[in-house]
Amino acid sequence: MKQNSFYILTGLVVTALVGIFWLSLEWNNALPIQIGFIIGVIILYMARSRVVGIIADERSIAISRKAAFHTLEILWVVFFTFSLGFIVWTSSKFFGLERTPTFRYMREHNPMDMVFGRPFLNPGFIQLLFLCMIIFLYVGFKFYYERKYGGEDTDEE
Amino acid sequence: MKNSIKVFRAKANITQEQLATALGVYRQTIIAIEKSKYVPSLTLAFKIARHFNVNVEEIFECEESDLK
Repeated sequence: MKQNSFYILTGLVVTALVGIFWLSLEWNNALPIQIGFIIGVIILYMARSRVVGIIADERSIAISRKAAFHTLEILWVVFFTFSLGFIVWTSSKFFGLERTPTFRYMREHNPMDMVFGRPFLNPGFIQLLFLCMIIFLYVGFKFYYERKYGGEDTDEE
Repeated sequence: MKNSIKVFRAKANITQEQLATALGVYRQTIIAIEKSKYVPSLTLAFKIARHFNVNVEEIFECEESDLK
């Protein structure tokens, strides 16, 4: 398989996954997108192993590493901050803080209470959203380091 | 880190694309190195030097600021 064919296949898989994601929302069923995502990843991994003529370019590898590292750096801080907040939220009574107005309000809106139609009020949903944002953060960092390390294809032969 | 890849390329009359293919990297990497926006690994630096049959120091010049 040629590299361009692999890119086309990747585009098709991503498009299909977006469609399946939408269907999952319509059907209110998580299984289609979960199974679809796993199948999609397996297809892409198998296809990538059959691509011929891949160039192991050290600059590209360095950019990917830096992007991945900084994505994780930001993610763990944000995720940990949220998680700490949720620990306080759910266990403020244990620490004897339940009379504080803020914590009382939080206790009245227990994270276990799913408010349907208002998912952004659900801390678990926000956590999942952060996890899904990894890919956008990673792509953003990739673009940034591509520019920083002179990725622009200027012709000066 | 300064380098004179462009000069050696001109002497050898080869394009960035040809050099990239010979070294097994993308053309963008050659562009980035020539513009001093990316410092290559030791392996790639030696590959470049060997390609032009010279020592690494003849192509790459380490400045004082690089050592700080």
